[in-house]
Amino acid sequence: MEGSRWTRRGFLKTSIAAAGAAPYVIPSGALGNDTIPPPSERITLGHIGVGGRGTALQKEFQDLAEAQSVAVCDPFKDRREERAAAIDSAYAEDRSRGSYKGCAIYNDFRELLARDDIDAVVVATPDHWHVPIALEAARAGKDMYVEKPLGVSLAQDFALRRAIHRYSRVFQYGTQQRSSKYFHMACELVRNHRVGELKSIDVWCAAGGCGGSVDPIEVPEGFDYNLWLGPAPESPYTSDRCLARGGYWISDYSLGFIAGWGVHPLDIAQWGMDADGTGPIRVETVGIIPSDGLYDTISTWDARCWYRNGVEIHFMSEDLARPIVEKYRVHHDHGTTFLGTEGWISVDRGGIHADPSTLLDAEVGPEGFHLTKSKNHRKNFLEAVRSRGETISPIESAVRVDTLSHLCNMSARLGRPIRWDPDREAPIGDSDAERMMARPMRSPWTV
Amino acid sequence: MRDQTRWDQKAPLLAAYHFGQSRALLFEVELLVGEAFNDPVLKREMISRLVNLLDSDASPDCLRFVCRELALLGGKESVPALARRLRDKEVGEAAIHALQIIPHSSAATGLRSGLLDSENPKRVAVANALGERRDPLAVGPLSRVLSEPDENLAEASARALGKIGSRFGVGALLAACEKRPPSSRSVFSHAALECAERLAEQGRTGEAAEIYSRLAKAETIEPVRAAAECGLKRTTPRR
Repeated sequence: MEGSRWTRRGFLKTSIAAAGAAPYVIPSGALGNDTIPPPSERITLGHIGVGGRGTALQKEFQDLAEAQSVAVCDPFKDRREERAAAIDSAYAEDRSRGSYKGCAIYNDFRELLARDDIDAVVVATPDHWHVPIALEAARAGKDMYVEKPLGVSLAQDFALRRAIHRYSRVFQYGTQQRSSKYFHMACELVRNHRVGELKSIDVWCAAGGCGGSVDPIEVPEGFDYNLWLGPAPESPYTSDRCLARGGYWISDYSLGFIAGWGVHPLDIAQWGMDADGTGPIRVETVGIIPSDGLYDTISTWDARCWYRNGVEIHFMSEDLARPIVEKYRVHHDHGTTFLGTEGWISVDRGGIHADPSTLLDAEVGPEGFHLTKSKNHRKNFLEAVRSRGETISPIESAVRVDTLSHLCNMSARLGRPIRWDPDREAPIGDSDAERMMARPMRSPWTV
Repeated sequence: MRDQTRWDQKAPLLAAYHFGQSRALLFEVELLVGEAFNDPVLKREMISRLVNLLDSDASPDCLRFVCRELALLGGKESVPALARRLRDKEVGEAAIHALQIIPHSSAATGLRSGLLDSENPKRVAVANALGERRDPLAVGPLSRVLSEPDENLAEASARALGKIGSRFGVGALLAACEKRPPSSRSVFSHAALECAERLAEQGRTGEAAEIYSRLAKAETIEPVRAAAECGLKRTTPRR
């Protein structure tokens, strides 16, 4: 009997009696793709992590009429309060009409997820929280926009993919380059063989960093350090640990820029070579890890990833890539260059280049192969929430591109190549690499 | 011992290692460990050295590092020393993770003992590790602690049973679910759902369908009920 079911609203009552006021909007629900009714009004969003990137995303969503931010969450008190005030101010007109009742503020993401009037969440936390929070969001019946990179272990990535499918959730990965004109154009041209037979792909991005204070200090007031750490090991608090660079470059919380920045140009490489459903068969990486200071992820790397179709991805940190890239074109700190038998096409956020330049002269005609087009990554996500369709950066491609970063990291740390079976998604004959696919999580956290 | 001199130089420094010092020393030890991966004699020697260090009064940072290395290199020889550290306040979680990763069955045995030790303060971490190992022999011990008053422990055990995915486990989950406080029940339902999914993956679609059917009709949260309905459709033959 419907009335006797333990509903999300019932759960709300028993678990968080004082979750805070919020507008009532019929949520998108949690049924399968074929049974989910569309939201009757705006898609309500909860923002988990409102630091630099989380704030930027929130503002971008705020500009879209289809969405309404109704809650923020962050273990930094000043950040969450500041963002909530800004949201209230932006929706002041709605509030005066009574259609908006204010942005709720949370320290703990579990309280935000327990609200049954939130359709979707935007996860922009430090990397080590991406998958644990996304998993809980799926279990709570929320759709999600999740910042890159994905998990801090392959086991986490695979667990999230299962959950997304199990609960029929819409997932958008924060690889927004797919919704950018130049990247779309480059990948579509390569898919239509404008460079002839694709031979190799040069991929590069900003190098990681070194340094960071190792002097323990008091945890600042208004910061829930224990929750920030969550599944990561207990560690002495230092001034740099929980700022952006700490989140980017400390191995307890991330893989470093080999993943955090690297997934952007790697994602374009995979998209352009039609490898969203597969991966490399062999990966070999050398890298440098700083020996001093707080930051201990790979800061400089030179990786080669070979695919079954014979294509090789050469993935480098920007410092190593510079001499190679400058041979072709004006250097930027990131980019993806597709090299084929008929020339090359190179793309970054500044533009698209080719040799011969005539490769770019005409866009692909109606008879050619066309990639899904999105002009706005956030909007594409909201459209999928409404239609229950697929986003332009779904969980499958997210896991596949994240796998590349993980394999590069594992190969560098093991000091030898890794053979990989992209069908089984497991190393071949390498129990050491297999053991590196999981990473410890501080209890009680688990995925 | 071919690299004994190198180790003898490093070991006392490593034993005193603490956060904030240069990691160069750790890199050198990692290199030694790496050299041992593919050499059975060297591997045995290296494991023995790491185990000796683990049994010493070395610094907690050193001991955690040793646990990480044993997680990569260790076999059954390293299990007793890791099990001895399992209850340790500062090193316990690292030791438990090593036991989770080491493939030898004795590592799982050590974890199961740790779970049933009611004095062990690290039982939640142990339950999580048994789930990650997908240890079928842990279904009994995990089922037993489902009714523990400690919510964290009961929930960790429920999640672990979900990952292992056995019919017996799901029975225990559904039976225990009704006795849990409302705040815990959703964890139990999600775990039962995962159990059904894993049974379906093993081709045991009839058993999976039975669980899906129970969950779809149960008083549970909407995401579980909806997912169970989808699962039921996938596992029930069309007529």
